Amino acid sequence: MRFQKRLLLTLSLLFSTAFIFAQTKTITGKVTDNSNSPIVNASVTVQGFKKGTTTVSDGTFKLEIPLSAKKLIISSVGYILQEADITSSSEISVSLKPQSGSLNEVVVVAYGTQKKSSLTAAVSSISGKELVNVPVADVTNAVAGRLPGLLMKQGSGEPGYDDADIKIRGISTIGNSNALVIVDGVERPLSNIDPHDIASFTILKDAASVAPYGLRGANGVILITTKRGSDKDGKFSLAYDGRYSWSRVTDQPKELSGYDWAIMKNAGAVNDGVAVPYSDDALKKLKDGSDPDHYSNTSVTDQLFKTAKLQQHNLSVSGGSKNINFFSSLGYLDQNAIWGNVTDYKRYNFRTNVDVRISDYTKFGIDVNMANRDAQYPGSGGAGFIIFGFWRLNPTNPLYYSDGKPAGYFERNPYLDLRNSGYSKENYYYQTLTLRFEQKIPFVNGLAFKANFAIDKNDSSFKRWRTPYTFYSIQPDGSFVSGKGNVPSPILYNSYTFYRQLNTQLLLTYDHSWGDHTVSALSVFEPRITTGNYLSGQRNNYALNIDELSQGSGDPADISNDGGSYKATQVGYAYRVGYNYANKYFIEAAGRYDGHYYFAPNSRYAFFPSFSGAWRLSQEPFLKNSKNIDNLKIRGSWGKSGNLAGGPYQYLRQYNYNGGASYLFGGTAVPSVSEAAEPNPYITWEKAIKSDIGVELGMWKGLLNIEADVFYEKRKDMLNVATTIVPVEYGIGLAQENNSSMENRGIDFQISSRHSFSKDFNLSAGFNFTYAANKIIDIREAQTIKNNPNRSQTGKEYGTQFGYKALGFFQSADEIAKTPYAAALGYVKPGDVKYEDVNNDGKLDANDIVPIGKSVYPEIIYGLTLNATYKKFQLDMLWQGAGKVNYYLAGWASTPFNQSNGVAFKYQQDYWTPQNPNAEFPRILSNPGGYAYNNYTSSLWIRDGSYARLKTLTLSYDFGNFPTSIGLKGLRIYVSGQNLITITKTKYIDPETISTTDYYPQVKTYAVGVNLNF
Amino acid sequence: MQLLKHKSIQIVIVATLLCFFASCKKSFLDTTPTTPSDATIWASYQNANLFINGIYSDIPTDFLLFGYDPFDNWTDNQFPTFNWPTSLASVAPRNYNTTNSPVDSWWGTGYAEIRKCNIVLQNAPKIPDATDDQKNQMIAQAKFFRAYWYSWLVNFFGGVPIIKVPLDKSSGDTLDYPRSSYADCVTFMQQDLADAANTLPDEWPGNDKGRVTKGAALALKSEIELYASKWQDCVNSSNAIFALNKYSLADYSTMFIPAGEMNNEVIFDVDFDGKTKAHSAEVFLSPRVDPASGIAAGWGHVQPTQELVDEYEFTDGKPGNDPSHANDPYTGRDKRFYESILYNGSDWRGGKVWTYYDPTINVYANNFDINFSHQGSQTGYYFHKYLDPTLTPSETNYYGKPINGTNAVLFRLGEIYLNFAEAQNELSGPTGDVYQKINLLRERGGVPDLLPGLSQDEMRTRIRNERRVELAFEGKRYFDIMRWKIGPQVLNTTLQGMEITGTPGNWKYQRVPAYNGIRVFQDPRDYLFPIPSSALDRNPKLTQNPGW
Repeated sequence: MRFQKRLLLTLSLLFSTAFIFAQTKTITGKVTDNSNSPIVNASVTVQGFKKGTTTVSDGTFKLEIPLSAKKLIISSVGYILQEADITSSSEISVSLKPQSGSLNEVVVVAYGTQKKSSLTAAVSSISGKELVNVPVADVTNAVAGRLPGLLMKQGSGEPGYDDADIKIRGISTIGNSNALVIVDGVERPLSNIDPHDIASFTILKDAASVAPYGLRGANGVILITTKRGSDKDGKFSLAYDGRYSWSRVTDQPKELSGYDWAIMKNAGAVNDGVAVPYSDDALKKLKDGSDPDHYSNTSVTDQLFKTAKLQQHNLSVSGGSKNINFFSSLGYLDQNAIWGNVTDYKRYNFRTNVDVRISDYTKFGIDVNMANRDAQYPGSGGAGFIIFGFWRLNPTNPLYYSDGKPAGYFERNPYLDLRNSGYSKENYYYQTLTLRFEQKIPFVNGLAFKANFAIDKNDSSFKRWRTPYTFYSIQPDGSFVSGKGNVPSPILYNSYTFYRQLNTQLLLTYDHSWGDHTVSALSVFEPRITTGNYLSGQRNNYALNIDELSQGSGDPADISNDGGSYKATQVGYAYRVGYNYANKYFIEAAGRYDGHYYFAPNSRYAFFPSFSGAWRLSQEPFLKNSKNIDNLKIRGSWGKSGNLAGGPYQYLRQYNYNGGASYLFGGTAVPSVSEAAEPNPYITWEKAIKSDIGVELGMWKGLLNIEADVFYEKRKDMLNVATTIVPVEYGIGLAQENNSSMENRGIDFQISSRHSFSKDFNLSAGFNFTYAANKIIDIREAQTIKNNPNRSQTGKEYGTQFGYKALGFFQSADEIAKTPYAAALGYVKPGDVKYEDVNNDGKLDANDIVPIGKSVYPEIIYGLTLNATYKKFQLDMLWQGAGKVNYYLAGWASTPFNQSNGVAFKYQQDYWTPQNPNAEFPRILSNPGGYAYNNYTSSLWIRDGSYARLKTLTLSYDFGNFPTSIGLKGLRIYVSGQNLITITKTKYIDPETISTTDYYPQVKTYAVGVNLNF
Repeated sequence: MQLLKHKSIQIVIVATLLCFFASCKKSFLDTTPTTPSDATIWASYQNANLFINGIYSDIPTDFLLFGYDPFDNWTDNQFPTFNWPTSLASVAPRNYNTTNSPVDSWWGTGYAEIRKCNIVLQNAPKIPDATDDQKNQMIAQAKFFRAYWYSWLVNFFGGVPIIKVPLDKSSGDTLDYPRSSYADCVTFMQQDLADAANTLPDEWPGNDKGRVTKGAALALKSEIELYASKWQDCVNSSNAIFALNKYSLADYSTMFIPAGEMNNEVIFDVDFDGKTKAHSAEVFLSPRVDPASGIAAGWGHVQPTQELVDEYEFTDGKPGNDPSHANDPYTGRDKRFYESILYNGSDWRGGKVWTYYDPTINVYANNFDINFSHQGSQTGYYFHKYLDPTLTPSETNYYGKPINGTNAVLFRLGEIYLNFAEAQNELSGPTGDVYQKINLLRERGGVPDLLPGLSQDEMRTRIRNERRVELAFEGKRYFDIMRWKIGPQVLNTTLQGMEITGTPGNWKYQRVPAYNGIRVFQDPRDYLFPIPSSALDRNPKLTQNPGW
């Protein structure tokens, strides 16, 4: 194995520092902070000699030093370095002063931590504190706008499914572009985390920082660490955080009343050339409400959208003594939907992190984490289905008749779909157990062996019980006929999914300083096994209303079941070696040799190296004494990382087996198989080549901090189904191939400032900005498309929207007659969209397609935070915005009577008529589904999705110390709001709405909360 | 490197290295796929048959007959109530181009199926445990289906590339085939079907009943030859079917219900049992309100047109739109009318179907809700064919669950009579054979025999009328329109319905436009669909159809 050689090299590097043994004396001492608490792991080195140690848990150290030694250098992360004279004493006591400013922060990096000041990589982080006061359920929605380089887009607001899609530095691939999420060192889902437990939230952005994650690092990495107990002796604390919040839909477009709807429908019927459906008498009844059973005025928004409630509670205890510390927390979240508690999501979190110091050399830790998530939804369907059901209701249709009978349309009543259709329950039982073992190697300063074993269980059950309900339809004569909605008879579906992840990490770390030299090294061996299996069963036609599989029908035709399993394995060898001279010049090499089971045996391993360096100019003599500049660092990195995309076994020809009744022979059902896809024996992972240049500048003692990065990435071997290399007549889909490439470039920066105007008044502000623009270099387009600069995606942004270019509307029959393609169609009328015949061939076809809009993922995201404290008041504000983004109006949002029925909005009244030639929308039709012409994908429906919004606003009052007999030490109360103000060009739809049809809308939230400390 | 001599360090290092080596074993990344592979499928006759089963299961019965937009919706026989189905949104107004034609996906589907057949042809001879006969029967079935899918492609697109082997991009062979002429495609299909007919049995034994037979191969051959105007070939193929002496006309009233299926007229059908394999015709076709229970029955979504109804003669021999029957149009019609169509006053499932129009509320009867979300029949008619009268519409079977067990009849003797009569008439004019076959069908419908002495043209008209009536809703009409080149006459018009007003016993009948969409036919462009631009983009040897 080539790797063994590499390992030996690494190991020999670790040990290459020579150690000098000479005539010595013993010196002992204690290192404390300014509150006299011991500082653990402070580095104690002998000036001029390659010799040193670190302090143990009580802050003491013991060191053999050469007789000639004169000074000790004592340093610890976060404190100002101090020198101590040892010529006169063999016992010293040192008190370190904490450093101020971000320089001394310790940041979490791959498999460890690093001092921010010595970072050579692009890393951004925020502390957990900033995430807890935001009234959202999922942590992904709390980080939006807070970190440079982080882009997020929420797919849905539905409780339990409201996690945002996080992209780091935009999108660099046409495949899976999601960032890797590492929680406490192990790949774990974000959705199981209680934001209260988070100590730090970090994103790794460049090659140097992601390299140790090898094949999973290319899309960036999110690192989360959870809180641990304080090792200050005897300090225990108990804290309670509680919050209630209320949410309403943000910018829901205004609906048309039943009367206005009927007027518009009649206008459409006239254009369609059919009889108007609403007579004057009917219109009169719609207006005066005299016959509500036949002519109603139902507002979907009123019927559906109420106030959603969210409550969160968290109780935590932490503390420690000399040898043991712990952090323990209990969290509870209860969230329901904007239509009430038929959709309800509860999350229970439990976490205990314990660290035990067995000796000065040996540490042991156990982390136990449990997250149970219980979600319940209507039996009929999820948010998309519910909203679809309401949207397709005509405002002229009552939901209930005046005698209380529920009405039915399309065999359904949307309100009963919501309330009386059974339930769908999703229960997740998530548990992780991590054992940590750390052994410092005696006699080798700074060398430690660590082993982490993590067992993650993620089991879930899904139970869907669908029940019928009765609805009625009124007949012209006033009589009713009844029907059964949702399902003919009760149906139960039940499934269990079991998931196990076994993660082992064996690490060797080495950190040592002598004189001006500091060396650090890390090597990691990490195998991982993931197994999963599922089992499901369904029974139809329940006679009894008991929702258990055992109580279902015994007829074989009513019974079905399914199941499956998989095993996934990967193994990696990661390393990081760093050296710095005098805290001025830093170089680092990191990487990973990785293997994964997805690929054919000889394509399974690859090596992903990176190199980086930094120069702290502020340490140079010419800047060291500058009054203005506290810190100035330039850093750069280059490296290669991987992205696992696609699926397993694409190197084999696979068949789909259909065990169901494919066909009947002799009256008996037979199963069947079909070829799934052509195999690709050479398939392997995507590769990213990333470069980054960054600068960090700190001025005027915290008044100004800037961190800015310029980055460029080229993604190669992107997985793409190479359809275009074979004709359609090939007859089978191909496996993915590593054949495409894309580049992504941009900048991200943050500027922050804080200032104390007086003892009582402090202000801090931060602005972060991310611009990430990608460009497709090659995605194997068919030659004819590639040769057409309009249709070709090559050279354009990924996700560019293509369609016809709309030139407005035809204003007259004459204009249509002069437009050859429209005249040829024969049915185009004034008020219809006029498309550009780009190649002037008199036809409207694929050759007239041009780019019409940017991607739905913004190229620009920015955030502005402002925090002001005045006495005991604190005001926190987060503005967040996006730019260079387009969305596409479709479905209900674009065209009224989309499926001949359904909601229509006020803004849609701006349709073309001879009197309204410059309308936003084409002529109205009562049945546009049969008239695709106006709804061809075209620029007519593209909208600017830029926005800026007041994402979070929090006002709090801190009562401070509370010298009460009940032991309350702190009390803080606050009010908070989310999505309060939105500035956008498109007034009628929320700009963060990812799709304009059947989408759980964005909400505006108000919250009150309290923090108690004991 | 003195330190390395220290014992504890050595232990740690050795332990670490051991872990490295232990897990580095190749086997750690070896996991077993959970789906079948080549080795499994072609290793035995039994497994290989699973692959053939897959080909059978792809017969597009929903597209053809039982979906919400059955193929006859593309014609003047019927139309859907909703405006979004392909037939109404795309086919009728012909508002598509080379990127989005209604048969865009058929190009890919067709060749995917042809590939499957070619894979069988390639692999069947190599199956280790199959007998020669078993291999030959597999090959024959594959040839039948290869021709079946080519016939779809040819009917939609004209001549297409003929691909006889599974393409393999790693072979270095050319993957880009040019289009063959229509005539060459027909010859190719004829050859495949002749081979299939020579091998396939007349009848399969019990467990295999339902596989394609000699009759099926000849029937498809006869249809292809008819469409291609290869009259003599069509007559020969049809005669070969008659010569099997296996098929005879069955009772029209029972032919399209589960109780009457597997009768002697059926040459090839797809079996549905209503349970393990079922379709949703009841949901889409059944009238809105069940007459007996008054509850919602189906969508009544596809509605026969007045144009079709007018094709059904009266038992007195008068044509369907004869003024003498204008005041009582539903009495004394061809039996096939009653078995195919529900009309105002039909007896149905223990009650009566109503389709009259109430102008005071602008609503057709048999209406379920009054807000235009589901109208009653706009034409005055509903389907009868394929609906199983023994099903009781109830809360448990009207919605959400396929429950129909009516078989999909692809070929039956009645059609072969029509194929034969049309081809023979074109060859030699109205011979006795022609009369005999048509009159057999007419007698079954209870309408008088054709008058003797018809000219070839007159006979052609009668055969076309007979074909439309006999095969209504069976998915044959669209290609008949295409090959008879009558698009401008029948696909350019506003379809009509019968508006019935008044009261029972005192109905007034008036033909009215019933179709609120656009119908356009560009002659001759629309006799063929455009080759999808996605196919043209990827195969430079393909050429586009004229007019596109």
